[in-house]
Amino acid sequence: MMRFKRYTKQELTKLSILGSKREWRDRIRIAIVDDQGLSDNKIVGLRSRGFVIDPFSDVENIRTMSDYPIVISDVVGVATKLDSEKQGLALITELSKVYPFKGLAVYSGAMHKLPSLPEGVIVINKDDDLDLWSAKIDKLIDGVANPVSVWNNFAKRLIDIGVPTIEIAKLEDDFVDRVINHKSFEGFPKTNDKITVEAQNVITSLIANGIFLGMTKLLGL
Amino acid sequence: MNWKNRRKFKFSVESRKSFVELARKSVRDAESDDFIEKLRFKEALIDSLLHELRSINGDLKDSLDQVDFKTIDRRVVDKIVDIWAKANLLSIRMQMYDFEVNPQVFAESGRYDIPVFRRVEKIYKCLDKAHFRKHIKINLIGKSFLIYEASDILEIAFYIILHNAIKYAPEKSQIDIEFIELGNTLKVIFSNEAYLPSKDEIHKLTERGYRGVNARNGNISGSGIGLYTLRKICLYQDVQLNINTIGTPPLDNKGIFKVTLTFPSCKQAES
Repeated sequence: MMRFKRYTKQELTKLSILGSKREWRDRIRIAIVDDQGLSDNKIVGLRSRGFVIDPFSDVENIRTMSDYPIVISDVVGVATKLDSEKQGLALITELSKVYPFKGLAVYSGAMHKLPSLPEGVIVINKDDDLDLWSAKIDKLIDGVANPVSVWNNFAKRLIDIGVPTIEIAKLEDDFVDRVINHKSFEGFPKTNDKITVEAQNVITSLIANGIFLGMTKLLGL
Repeated sequence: MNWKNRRKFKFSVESRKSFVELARKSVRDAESDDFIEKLRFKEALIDSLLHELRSINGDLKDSLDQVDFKTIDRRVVDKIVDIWAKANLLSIRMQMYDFEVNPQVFAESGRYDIPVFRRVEKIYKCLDKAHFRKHIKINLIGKSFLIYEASDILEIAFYIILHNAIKYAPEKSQIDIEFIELGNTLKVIFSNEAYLPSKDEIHKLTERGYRGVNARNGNISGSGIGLYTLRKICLYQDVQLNINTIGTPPLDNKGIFKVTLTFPSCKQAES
């Protein structure tokens, strides 16, 4: 059926179905990679605050992280098969290249030695308390799951690849319609002759690389 | 040349000689493999020490998080809060080292939402013992629920200002911390009684190693690093820093020293 109402991202800010940000915690799975494992107190503390934590002692292939919107890694003693020297930093750098829309963080006991990190990667200190861990993970969840942040990120990429503004407005309408009316993101975006094949391919790859992963998990789509 | 001037001349030649000797020696040392090896060893020791300290401090904080305050005696609660404060001060001191050695990582690492009022409150509670010792009263004036996107080093800024205020304020005086919201801008004004720097000195206070004449004369220890680091943090975190005084030194030796931090583009905290 033909729909006359055009949606804009402003409608996303009024969404009540999202609940409070604290409620988002149990909908987003978080992978924590640490060869020695986080302390029991830390894991219990984070879980009791509502976070869904899956501990990993190592990651040999970054594809195993494909289903996690958020990955937090220790710097030393992990991913040695990926890069024996940079270890955890190599894991985070590779993940940021292959899955640029994941929320990523490193935790380290040697901030004074950390090299430059990919944009947006959050640093957690080994002695951060649970309040700081929670604030930093909440920020990561917001970046990957909040429909407003996800749309802004997506629109920025569309502008970068030269999609005309009028077509971005149509994609925005489709995006917001699916979010607020709780429709699946399968087949997004609708076929559109005005978007070049190259741009269409970039959009497909953005989606394949998980730009909507956190948000669809949050919304249960 | 009279006798006094000859001594001065001799002293300056000798000290120049010794300086040149020292410089030559350090170049020779620096070139030697043994010296480089020793430096590397020292660096590795510091790395491992900091790493271990952080892990232990992290475990200590985790254990404190598990304490159920409802089930324990009030005096024990006070002791636990004191241990919590010390653990947090230790974190801040280590972060100051990190920031001094590797400031770039703080500029680049992802920022997160920091509730400014709560963080200032936390630092003031951590410094509780210090101001209690001098019978200084700290007043929080106003409240704010605004949050500012920044990295961890913002805590160091609050620590430097409050630590300085406690250090320079006379006994039994008071420190005011005022929170003023102007739309989405938050101003935090720290003011305390102190020996004032002259107006010409104020802009020099944030230079590395500079210490005000009155602070030096008052025998108050310090290295002139604090306000320099504060300026650097504000620069990295896009916070506006203003330092001013109320009083007219040297006529009024003592007056009010004010540090104002302005946080632009804040967000309201989720209720």
